[in-house]
Amino acid sequence: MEYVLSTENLCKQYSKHLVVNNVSLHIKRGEIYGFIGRNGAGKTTFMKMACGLAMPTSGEIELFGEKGSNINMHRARIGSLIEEPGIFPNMNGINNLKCKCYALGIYKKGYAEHLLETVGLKDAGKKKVKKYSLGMKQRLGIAMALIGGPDLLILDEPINGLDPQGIAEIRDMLFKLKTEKNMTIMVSSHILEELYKVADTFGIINNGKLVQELSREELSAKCNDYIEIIVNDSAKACTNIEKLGFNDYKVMDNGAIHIYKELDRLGEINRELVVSGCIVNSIKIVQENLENYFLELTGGVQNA
Amino acid sequence: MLNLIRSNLFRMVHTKSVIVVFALLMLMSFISGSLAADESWQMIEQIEESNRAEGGEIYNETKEEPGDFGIYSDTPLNSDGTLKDYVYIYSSDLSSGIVVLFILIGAVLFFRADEKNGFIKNIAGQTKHKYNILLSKLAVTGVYTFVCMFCYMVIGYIAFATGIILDGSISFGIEYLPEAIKVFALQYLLYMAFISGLLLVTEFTKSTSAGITIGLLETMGFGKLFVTITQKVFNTDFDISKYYISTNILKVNMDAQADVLKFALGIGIVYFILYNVLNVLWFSKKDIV
Repeated sequence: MEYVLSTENLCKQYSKHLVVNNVSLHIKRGEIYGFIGRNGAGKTTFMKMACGLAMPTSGEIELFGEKGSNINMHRARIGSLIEEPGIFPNMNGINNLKCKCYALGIYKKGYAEHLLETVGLKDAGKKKVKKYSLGMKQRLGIAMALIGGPDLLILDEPINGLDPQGIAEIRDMLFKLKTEKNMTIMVSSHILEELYKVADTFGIINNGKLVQELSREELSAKCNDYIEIIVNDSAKACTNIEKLGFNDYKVMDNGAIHIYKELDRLGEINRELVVSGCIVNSIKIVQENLENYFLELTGGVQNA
Repeated sequence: MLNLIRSNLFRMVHTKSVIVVFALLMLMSFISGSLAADESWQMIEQIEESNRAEGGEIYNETKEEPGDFGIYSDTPLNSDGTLKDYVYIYSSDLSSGIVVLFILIGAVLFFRADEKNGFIKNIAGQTKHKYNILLSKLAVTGVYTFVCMFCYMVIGYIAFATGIILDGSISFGIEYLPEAIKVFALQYLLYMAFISGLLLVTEFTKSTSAGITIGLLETMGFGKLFVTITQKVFNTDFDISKYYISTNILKVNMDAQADVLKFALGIGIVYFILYNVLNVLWFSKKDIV
């Protein structure tokens, strides 16, 4: 398997605090990698190390198949937007882009304007950045990351501050970059549902540790739908459910019963419970969402 | 590296605070030149009056020993009462401390701006060696210092010449230019060493105000306080201040002796290399946050 970026037991320690703890992560060429984690989980620190902004305390980074000091040769192939966009507020959008273009040796006429058009800021190029809205600044930050046509794009919370339309536009843009330019993209976000819509692979980080790394298919399987039944007598209902041949079910703390397989037999279950004398208060198919699964993995709501 | 220098030059000419400081320095140059011209007129008139009254007494210039590094302007007349060539007045202005203070403020503001707003994060990862960013900023600071010194000379000369022109005896001192260029180059080196030290402080403390404040205190002569303290504590007469860059800036001008210039050259080279090596090492190791 060809990985654009992979790490082996990567650690970052600030004084006594281990911010990134033995993270071994793998990003395949041409995929969108969703990086999920609560605030302070270590996402940004990991991304900074991947971009070369921070030095790892220990562990190894493999970039475009190279390790050790050789990865420095490939740093220029990474475009990044880490935390807030780093822009000069007193300059206009075009000049901000030109500033980075010059640093990378790009002097092509109209290049900055083209990038602004790509991120939907075509008409705001000559406006001072301090007059931009938060969403506009975010888009400019993405445009900055796209300078030079990087092979790997690392975006830390890129949809922060964007309105729903803006989020959809960025989503479309990421798809476009992936399909048209075969760009590999690592993107973190706390808006999990949005990440679920774009990413091919997910890495879930909690307290500096990579809790799980799974593909979209694997995550879909984990986030399966289930039947939720609320009755007056859970014990009696369970006996009847087992009589119907259901063994894969759970009784929750609030007495609700969750059945994870054969969801099409909802009507049959309902009839059996009613016939057996159970009072069925509610019976429905519930979609397990990414957020619930994420909370489950990271220690629940109390930790979130 | 050249690309980074070009990017930083582009950034510098678009940085409002740097332009404001530059404009203030030019204004100061104009005022300084005008005042020097005005002072010259008054002195020449005094000498003429004195000559008429006492039958031709030669004007005696009171050559003051260099005092604290600070804001002052040298007498614009020679000992025979004639007007000094402008290169002498200019080199004297450069050694006063106020010019380096203004340049320092602009340099520090420029140096830290990309780190304060996070722009550096856009390029640091894509640069093969992080220290190239620092060196490119240093190179641009060098250009800025040179431009400031050059423009200070031009504006100051225009102001001085405009004020003196009626007399018809104004001279830039073109015949002293080879010697003057050596002195100006030395003054430039000392300026760069002084600024490099304060850029190191700025990088180390991650604070623009720390760099400017320490620079301001040094310009005002607070370094002397340290001399007094060390002399008291170690019960010695040793004057550490002669190894200060600020002391050497003060001593270097067109009238300085060769040994003073040589010593200042050594100080300038040592400090310039030392500060910048430390800064490169620090910058290479630190995380960009």
